[in-house]
Amino acid sequence: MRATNRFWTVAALAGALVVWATVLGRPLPLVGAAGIVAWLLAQQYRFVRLVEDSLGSLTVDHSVSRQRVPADGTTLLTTSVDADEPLPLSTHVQPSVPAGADSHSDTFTIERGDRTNSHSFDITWPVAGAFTIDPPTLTFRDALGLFERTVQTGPERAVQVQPRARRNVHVGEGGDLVAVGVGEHETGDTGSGLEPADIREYVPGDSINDVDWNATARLGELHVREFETETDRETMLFVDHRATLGAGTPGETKLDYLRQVALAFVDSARDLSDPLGCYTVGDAGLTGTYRPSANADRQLDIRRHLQAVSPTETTDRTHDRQPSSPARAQAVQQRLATDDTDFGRRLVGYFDRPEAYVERVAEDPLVAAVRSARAGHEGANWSVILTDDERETEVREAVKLARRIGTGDGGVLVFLAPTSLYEPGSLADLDAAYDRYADFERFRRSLAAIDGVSAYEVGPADRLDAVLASGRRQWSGGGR
Amino acid sequence: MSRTPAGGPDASGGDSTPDGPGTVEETVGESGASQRPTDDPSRTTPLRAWSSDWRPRSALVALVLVVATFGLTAGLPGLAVGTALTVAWFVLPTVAVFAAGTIAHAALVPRGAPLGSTVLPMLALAGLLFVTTISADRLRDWGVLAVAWLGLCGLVAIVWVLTETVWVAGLTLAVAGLVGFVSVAYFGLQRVGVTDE
Repeated sequence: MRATNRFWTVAALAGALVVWATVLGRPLPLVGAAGIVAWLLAQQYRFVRLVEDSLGSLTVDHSVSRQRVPADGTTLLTTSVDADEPLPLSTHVQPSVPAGADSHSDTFTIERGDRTNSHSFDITWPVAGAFTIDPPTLTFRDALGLFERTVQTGPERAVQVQPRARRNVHVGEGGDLVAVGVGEHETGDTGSGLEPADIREYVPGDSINDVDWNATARLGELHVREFETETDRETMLFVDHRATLGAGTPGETKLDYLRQVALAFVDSARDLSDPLGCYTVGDAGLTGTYRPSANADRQLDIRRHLQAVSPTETTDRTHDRQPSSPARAQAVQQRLATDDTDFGRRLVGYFDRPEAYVERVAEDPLVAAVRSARAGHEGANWSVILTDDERETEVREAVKLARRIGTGDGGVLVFLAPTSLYEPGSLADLDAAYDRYADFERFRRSLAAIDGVSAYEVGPADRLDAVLASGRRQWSGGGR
Repeated sequence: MSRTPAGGPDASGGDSTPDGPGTVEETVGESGASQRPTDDPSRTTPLRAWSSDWRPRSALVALVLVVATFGLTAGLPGLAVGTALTVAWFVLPTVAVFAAGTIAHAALVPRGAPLGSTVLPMLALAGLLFVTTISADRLRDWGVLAVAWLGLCGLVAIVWVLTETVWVAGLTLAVAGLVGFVSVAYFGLQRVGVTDE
């Protein structure tokens, strides 16, 4: 309950009477002061009771025209208040708008004696994510304007804002776009299916439905068209959304681009009825775990989760740490073992426990996610890792682990967001950006060189074109 | 601000848009309220001015009594003050007129005046306060006002008798009022049970 300025003004009148009584040295004005104080208390008591009555008879609702909306899309929020009987208090209703949404919401009022009112306004959602619209805020005010009481009541509403597809997305190798869409796969066999594969002469036993009449007319003999057969392919997504994945301008971050790739896999799995699982990794560890399933609802859950994830926050600078791989630590230890210099003897102490590096790498969230996904699970044959190039050792170990414990004839697909393409201002010096991209490309190629591993870069096409053009200028100018 | 029915052609960003990320479902709110007509937002009203406060015509009866008792007590000056209070009532809130009347009463009635000269104008002024509790032709919670007033007067009287100091009695009244305000607010918190304050 809040006392308004008007209340304090009236209370000041009582105070004036007390002062007047003191000036006169007579208690008579105190009777008037006591009257005003008593009057205020009576009004307050009445207000409390009327608020109670009002809340008992009110039904507050608010609804959104769409619960799923693309980024920059608009929804209509309608807030309605209905009372069983005429309201004894003037009631102001303030619809709630989540932080991150744009709107020009207005307070609307149900006047004393009215029973219902509603109000609609547009909300624009510039940022992707999951949002909750809090219940509207009701402010009751008495007839004399002495008191106000604010109460939040009604249901919450959830709105899922989906990122728009990147028009500018590049998925490729060394600047070259990949020719096929992500998630598609062929078996190499022909037969019944959906994708046209080849045309051959008709042989007895072929179905008349398979005859390709165009080819038959063109070649003068009966020909049938064969189709690619498709098999179920179990795929596991590992989506990294740690703090470094937030690099980039809003709506154009690493995660935004990688999310599009991940969603393409989800859509592909849904279209092909392939089993799909998903692990999402934040700075503190796993943030989402979905075991492989071909169930459409389950895959819809994965899709929603991927749309909702955002870069996690980290308080430390662990991502700056670049631990050596266990193999490299062992190699350094062997080399130092034969080094008799003081420097070598001093340094060898730091490498005397190569297994410590195994433990440290195993603690990294992405590696832990791969290990967790594969623990006790048989049959998954494709792993898709989506991350950036900030932690090369960890990514390499995660890829190796996924490849080593994967099953079947599948492999590992790695989609990497090159940091040099995302950081704001990184293109101010294109030559430096190209150098960093070249470092990334070496890393990508080192991953792609692992048997059964394919590695791709994911980034904004226009920025990549600018960096590559700079590289071409360097080469043509003989700078390198 | 555009307003369209749910699922209308304004449903931007759905599958119909070339850059849509996939299936964007459109869902009407559970209550279906999105199809209700939009009310005029201009109904939002600020706090009403003092002069437009709810003031029952029965207050005029109390004011006639004020003029009469002031005239009986103080003669022509009393009539003049009573008339001035009546005129002021048309522009000032009733409680302010009551305060002004109390101040004038203390100034007009000399110390040691007969009890009737002291009590009658005060009762007439009290009538002004009581008529503010009239709603829909009924006195509401007048008992609360009466009990609270009598209680506070009793408290002030006790302190006055004990200390014979006006400012101490006044301070006691202020503290009692503050305690009363907090108590009623706490009572309201318990009754309503929900608050974001």
